[in-house]
Amino acid sequence: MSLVDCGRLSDVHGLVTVQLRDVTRELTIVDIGTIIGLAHLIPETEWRWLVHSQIDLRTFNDIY
Amino acid sequence: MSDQTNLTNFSGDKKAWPVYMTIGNVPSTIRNRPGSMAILLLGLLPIPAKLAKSSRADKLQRLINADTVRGVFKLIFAPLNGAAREGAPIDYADGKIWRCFLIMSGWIADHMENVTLHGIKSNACPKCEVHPEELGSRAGHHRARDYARYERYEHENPFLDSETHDAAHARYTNETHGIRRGQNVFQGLVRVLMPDLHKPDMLNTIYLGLFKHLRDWIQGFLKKHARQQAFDDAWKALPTYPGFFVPKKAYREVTQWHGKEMRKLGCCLLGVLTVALRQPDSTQVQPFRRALTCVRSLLDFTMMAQYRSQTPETISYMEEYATQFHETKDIFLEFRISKRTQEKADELRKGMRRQRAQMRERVPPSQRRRIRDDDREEENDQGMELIHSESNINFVKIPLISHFRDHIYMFGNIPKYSTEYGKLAHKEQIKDGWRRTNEIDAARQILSSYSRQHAIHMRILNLEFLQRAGADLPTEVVEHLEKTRPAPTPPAHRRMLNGLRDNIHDVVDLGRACDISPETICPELIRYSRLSLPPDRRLPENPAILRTLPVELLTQLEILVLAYLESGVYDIQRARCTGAQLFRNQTSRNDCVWIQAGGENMYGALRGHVPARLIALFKIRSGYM
Repeated sequence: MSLVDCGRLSDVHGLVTVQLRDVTRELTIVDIGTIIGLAHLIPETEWRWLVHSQIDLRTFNDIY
Repeated sequence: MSDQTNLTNFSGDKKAWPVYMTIGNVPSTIRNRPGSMAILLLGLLPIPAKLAKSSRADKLQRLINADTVRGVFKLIFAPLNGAAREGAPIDYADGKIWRCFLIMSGWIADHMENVTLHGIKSNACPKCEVHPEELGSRAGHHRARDYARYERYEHENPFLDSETHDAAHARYTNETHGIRRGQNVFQGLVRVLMPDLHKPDMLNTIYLGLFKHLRDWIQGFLKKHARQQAFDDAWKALPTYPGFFVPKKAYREVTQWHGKEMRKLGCCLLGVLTVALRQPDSTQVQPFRRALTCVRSLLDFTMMAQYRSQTPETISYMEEYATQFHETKDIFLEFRISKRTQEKADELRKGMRRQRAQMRERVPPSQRRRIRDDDREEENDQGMELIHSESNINFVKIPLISHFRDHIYMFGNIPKYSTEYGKLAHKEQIKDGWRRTNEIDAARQILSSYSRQHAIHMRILNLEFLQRAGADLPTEVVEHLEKTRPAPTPPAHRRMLNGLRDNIHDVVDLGRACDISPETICPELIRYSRLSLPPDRRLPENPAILRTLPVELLTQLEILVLAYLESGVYDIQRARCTGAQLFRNQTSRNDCVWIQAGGENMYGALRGHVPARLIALFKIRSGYM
């Protein structure tokens, strides 16, 4: 997924928005060691999500 | 701590009013852990019958009830006064006897309980002397309650009905400060600062207090702007997350909102509301922005208040969020309208229509629509003006959040004083005990049942401590301790793949299972191999050979995540990835995960983390990956 507005927090709701990548590669293979935890994304449209930072204290503290 | 609880519903509605005691020297992480035996049941208070408000006989009975409760507490606190004044000898774990001063430092209870015990009115703050009409304002800090002064007035003016100046002054003080004379059970306690007995509580102040109101305001706001369906759709589309249960019902269909539901609402409200309020028209931009800012500031305040470790910086953030909430909460003012104000607004509207009907001349049809719209706008403007002048967001939970800051500076974090631990104690100490009784003289049976349990558990804890210290214990005791000890936790792995899928043998099968062509997978495998694998473990770059490499496809990844602000405590997060296959006979599940993709200065607020959706979890066997 790619970041909307370079990953800046919205002035209004304070959440980061991500969307499906429009580049050619539709998948990326990564090592499972780079996966650090589950993310909670709230669907805004079929191709756009809000990164939900208030789902737990760790995420809330990490994203600012 | 104390808290009334229901023992039976619909079969007599039996209640219990337990009083618990604990000591502040025990660290909160141990004290609040179930099974630590650190919260002790002290007694069960008599519960007075509910009375109607109007009758004079009921008023008298209410006074008698308050006197009875005060008398019972006097008995409970009697041994504490001597121990606070002169100290009491106590056996310590180091084998010595220490002289300890037992001073009551806090009373953990919900607001109504505090109202009863502190002898104040229900719209009064137990900590400060905020006037009932200023509950919603944030006009600085109000003077702390001086319970000693109230007590002095009470002694100096035993008869409030007299015409003396002092009696009039005492009457005025009682009225403005919301005091109920002679009903404070903490009066006369030695070395106790009564305003500090009250502890802020997340469950009752935020979740069951502010969130309850916020939920109603948001319902009204969504209805006004015709966004209810959008909110329901976003609510039902919420994905799963550890500790967060996906709502099964639409938001409007949820009828029971208890602490758990309120907590869930707080977790996801901002995201769902943001989705529901997207794409506003030109008239909605400002109200939507203000509503989102208000909700966001309250939720951010709630998140900050949950921190178990606070710094001046986090406290200043909390203050900032609280200020922002107060500045923007007027957007929801129209949804706190009283019946009387609603009637006035309706009357005003009718009056305007009557006036227009008398004055209006015949209007050509081409102008009728424009005039009707203007009239409606004028009606709305005047109605809103009336609502804003007559309504207010005044309720007692609002000043309570302004005491969070001072409390953190003086006593530490907020969650350690939560009433939730009292509710956990209810189950173990009251409700289980109630089930064991024959329901005749149940209070005594509950108390003796728990006393036995407590004695046995304390004995086991002491024996375990002695065993750890290397004491020589009898063989049968050691055997018993081995039996009762919980099984050791399995060794922790940082990542673990589970759920092997059948019939997947090579890269071609993998592509088929995940609905991705081998032409897409192979170049990506080569790219990964070149960038991430050591030269001796790289994959062959011939696509024909790559396609035949043996593959294992898995459906679950267990990730061990260090619990927030804890050391040595881990949470296990399970990321599911079923590809196109159904998960538990429902839709397929491909969770989103955080990938560490760069340094802290990358990706803006995400600080080097990027969210990604799992498409497949696989291993290439035979020494390749």
